[in-house]
Amino acid sequence: MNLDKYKVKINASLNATLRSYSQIFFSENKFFSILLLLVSFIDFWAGISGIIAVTVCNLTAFSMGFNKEKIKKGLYGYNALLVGIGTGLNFEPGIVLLILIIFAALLTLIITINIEGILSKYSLPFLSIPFLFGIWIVILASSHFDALGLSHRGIYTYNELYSAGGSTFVKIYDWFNSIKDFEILKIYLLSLGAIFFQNNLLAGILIAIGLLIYSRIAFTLSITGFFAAFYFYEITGSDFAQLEYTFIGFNYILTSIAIGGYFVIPSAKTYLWTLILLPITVIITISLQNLFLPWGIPIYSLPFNIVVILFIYALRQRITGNKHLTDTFTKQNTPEKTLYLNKTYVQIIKDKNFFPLNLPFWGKWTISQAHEGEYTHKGFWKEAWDFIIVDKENSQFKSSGEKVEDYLCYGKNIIAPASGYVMNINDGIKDNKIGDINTVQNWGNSIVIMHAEYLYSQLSHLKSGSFRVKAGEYVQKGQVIAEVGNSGHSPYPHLHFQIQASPFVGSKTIEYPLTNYISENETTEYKIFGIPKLNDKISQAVPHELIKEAIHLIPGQKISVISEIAGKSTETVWEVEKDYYNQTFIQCTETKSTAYFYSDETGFWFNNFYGNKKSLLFNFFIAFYNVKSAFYKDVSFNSFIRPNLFFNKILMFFQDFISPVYLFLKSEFKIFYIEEDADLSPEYVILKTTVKNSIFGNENKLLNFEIKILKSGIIQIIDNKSNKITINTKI
Amino acid sequence: MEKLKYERPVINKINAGVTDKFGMGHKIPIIQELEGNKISDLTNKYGSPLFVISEKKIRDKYNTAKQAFTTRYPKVQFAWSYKTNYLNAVCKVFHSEGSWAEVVSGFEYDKAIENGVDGKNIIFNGPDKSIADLTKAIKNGSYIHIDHFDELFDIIKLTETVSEKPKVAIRVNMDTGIYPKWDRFGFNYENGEAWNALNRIMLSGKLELVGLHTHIGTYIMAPEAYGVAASKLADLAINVDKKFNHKIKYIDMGGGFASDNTLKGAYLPGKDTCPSFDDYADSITNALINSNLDTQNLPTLILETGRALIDDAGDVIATVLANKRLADGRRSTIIDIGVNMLFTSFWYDHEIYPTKQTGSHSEDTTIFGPLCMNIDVVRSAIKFPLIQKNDNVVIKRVGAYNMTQWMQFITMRPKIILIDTKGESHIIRENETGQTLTAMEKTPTHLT
Repeated sequence: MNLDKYKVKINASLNATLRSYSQIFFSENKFFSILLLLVSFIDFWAGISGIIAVTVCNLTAFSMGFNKEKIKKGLYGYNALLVGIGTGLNFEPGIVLLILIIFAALLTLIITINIEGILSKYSLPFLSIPFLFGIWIVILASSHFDALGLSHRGIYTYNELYSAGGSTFVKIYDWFNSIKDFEILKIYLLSLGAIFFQNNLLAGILIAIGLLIYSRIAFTLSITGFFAAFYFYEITGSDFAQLEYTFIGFNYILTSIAIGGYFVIPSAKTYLWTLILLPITVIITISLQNLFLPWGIPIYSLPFNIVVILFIYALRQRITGNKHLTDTFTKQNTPEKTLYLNKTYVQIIKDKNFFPLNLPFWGKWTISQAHEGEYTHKGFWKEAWDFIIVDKENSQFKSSGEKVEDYLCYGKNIIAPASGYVMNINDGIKDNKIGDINTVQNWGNSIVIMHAEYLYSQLSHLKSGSFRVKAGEYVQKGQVIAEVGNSGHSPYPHLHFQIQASPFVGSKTIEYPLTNYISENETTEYKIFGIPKLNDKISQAVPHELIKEAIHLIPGQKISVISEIAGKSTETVWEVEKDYYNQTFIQCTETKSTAYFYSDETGFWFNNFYGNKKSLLFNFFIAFYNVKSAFYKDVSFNSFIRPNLFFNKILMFFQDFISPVYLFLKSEFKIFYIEEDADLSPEYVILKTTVKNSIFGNENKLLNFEIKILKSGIIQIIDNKSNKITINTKI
Repeated sequence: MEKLKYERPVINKINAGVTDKFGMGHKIPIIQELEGNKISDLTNKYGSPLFVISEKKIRDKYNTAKQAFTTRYPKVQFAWSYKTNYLNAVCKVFHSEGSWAEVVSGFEYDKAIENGVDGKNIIFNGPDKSIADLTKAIKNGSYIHIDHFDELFDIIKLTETVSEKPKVAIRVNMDTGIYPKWDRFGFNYENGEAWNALNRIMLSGKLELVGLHTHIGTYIMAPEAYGVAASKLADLAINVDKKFNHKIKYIDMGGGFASDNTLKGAYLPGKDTCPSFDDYADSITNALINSNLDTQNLPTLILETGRALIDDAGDVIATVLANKRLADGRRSTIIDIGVNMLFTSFWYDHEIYPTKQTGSHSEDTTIFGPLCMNIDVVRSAIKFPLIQKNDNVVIKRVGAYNMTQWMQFITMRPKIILIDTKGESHIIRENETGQTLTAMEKTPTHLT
């Protein structure tokens, strides 16, 4: 055992303790934590009780071997902390109280682990439910603890104010009370303070400042939520005074932050839902208060817990519509960071949201009927595509076109758009003569493949007897499954393709994009995900061997980096690693900067960067931000980079406030595919990338990079100052 | 009223027996223009005989072929077979469509380079490659298709002096169930020679084995034969992968697809009997997809089709020199292009069309070329209308091989023009003159 090991342990414990404070507001911000710790000490004994509870809880959790990452994040500590402070405030200070608190903290830890076990099955957070159980148990039991006296603190406000800040505090307090206009603000601040069981304005003001520093979105949400609830009280004529005296207001604040920005990616829609949910929370609060009245225990944060869990669970049961009110899959430590990162995800890693479905054929096909088409793609089946093949003269048949065999698409192999189980096959329906339709067996010979829960693809009007698979069989992506025919409601041979949520032939369609294809219409575009339009000529994008090789990084490997910056040559080593959540990242061994990435055969995306923005890794991060492995000359595409990587903190502070609605600070990454070595064993590929920063649409900064990808995974990057970085990914 | 055109009297035997299955009518269609250019305008401008190549037909045919394969297989590459027609203009049309070059000699190789083809996009075939040719090909990173062991040894030896690693494939010959079996090129599949060659390449460690090549024959009427060949190559590829953990990058199915010309002795016209690109594509791609090759990682399919791509695009305009009755009573017509320019008339019954409106009568006619040689027969028997001296005829589908195999003999080689996609004509090869020939001759001084 050496000193370093102890240092690490002490550090971890300190982190866990501090973060337990801010975790109450879903935050891991250190400054906010310290502020909250101070706030808890406004009442000395409450502060002591809290810190004892959280320390006992975290140390026990560490020593018992619970998930260290979670403990460090304060996730196991904050409930015990709340129980500690609550207990500490309720009873007279003394040794007995401290003993009680230690046991209460341990009890809360056990409850926490159990509640987590139950709720995590449904991917739901346990919020402050463990605290509720813990404090209720303590309060209900306390009437028999004769050695404990009830505390009268919290009732004599002036006394406390005076002891905390002398006459100044008392004056401020009086001044506040004297101004009736500020009543609502006062209640807001008191409610904030009530989260820490503090019934004083100082606590509220400090917490409000902390909240603002931690997150602009959380701050605006806390105000939005509180006011929504406040005015609902006003409108309904409920007893408003309850708010002030029974520590209820914070329910509205926490609910608002949770729904509006933490568990759902903040947007104008989450703010709107906050306004809808808060009156509901008010109703639940009042009814619960009446329900709990006979037992003599306060409801604390029960309404918040109920509403948040009900709503999140409901949200997750949706089949479509995940575009709105999107779950936060990677939670960052502030709602705005989550929002920016999500915008990155939405643009770049859509397959986190969408299952990749490829085109079900080889070669270039044309869309003869798209979504909401003029012939048959209507009503329940409006999100479907019809594909045909046309020649140079745009004719879909050769010779006279009177026979099905004349049609270019007829008899062409159909391949599975993605792997999955064959659910249904209809076979045995004869091809129609050209121009004829079979309205009885509308879909003709069809196949439905299940790719995921609620995600099925249907291919129709196939050739009778051409199926190469059977129902129940598992097919691989790209496997030949059947041939194009002319059966069913099909006047001429074509392929009908639709995505649906149920396994039956002819189910209602859903809107779902196809992935990784080249679309030619007026312009040639590479689509990572897209919905092909009428008359688009589309073909599957084929990954380029060199790019594919260069972006194939295996966790555990090392990358050697040689940079020539301003004539000076240096050598660095990066390491590829993966974290606890299997997210892959590159870490610089010197600067410890970390760039998270995601890569597969189709492309490479950086999705997050932490650390030194002057490092080579940051250069690589922005130059190689989003690279698709398919090479098509002169094709280019844009992607969004989160602005907080480039703009300074002051600008970002203002941006954060309106970020759910509008971004005036923009960073845009663009990639151009310039040149490839036309060869079956190519030697190089040249790409160009740019990063453009703009404020209200005015260009602020433009970076250019020329990227050369060579054999055996070598990536060369030259920036506009002709600094050169050579990255060798295969050492 | 315009004076009616004179038509000589014809006597036709009446067949009182069973009518043939094609009926009685023998109205011969006429060709008055090629890609919008009047025949008479072309002959006035460029003389006769005149080879005419249609750029549009080349591009259309190429795209039809490409589409037939790309809609059935993920990775397809065409390589233009230089020997079929290596006129620079023709080659460049193919290259502009994305076709690589397939060459079989040092001369063709240099021509491809001059046509701007990247060395990496040249496939070097054939039994005759000199050390200098091989060195050049290795340095340029071209794909060398090894024909025999002596060549393999040459290449291995060359690795001692050339720093670049040669990229090679082997040509494989095999029994695909058709006759004749072309076993003189490459290594045999059935007797294990091909596998032996692959082992030697892999074990030498000095060559990069990139592909497998076969070329099962020419004018193949049975697409199934390609299927058999493709699955045999796929087996070799799989075995190489299994034994050496080495992925073959491409499978080259060569060429040999039939064009719409009718072979001599064929009962039905080629247009009706020859398989289409779709038939060949179906057979080849199904064989590859159904093989044990990994469908997610299929090798590129290379095709070296020559004839089927270019034959249709070339026509030749000729002029009637004389009409004459032979001793046995047959009619004969002499035109100004003979077998020395129209090599393919040894193999095909070329379609020949008049260019002016004729009467409804036709007569069994032999069409001779202008050479003073008995073998100079363009068509030995064709139902032909009664045309006169100085009338033009158009001979269809002469794009393949004629413009590379023709020879200067008795007459000079004529002009070749290309009609572009807008209908404009361009000379792409001048006619030869006496000067062309004498320029290369040298007379010993004692004879001057």
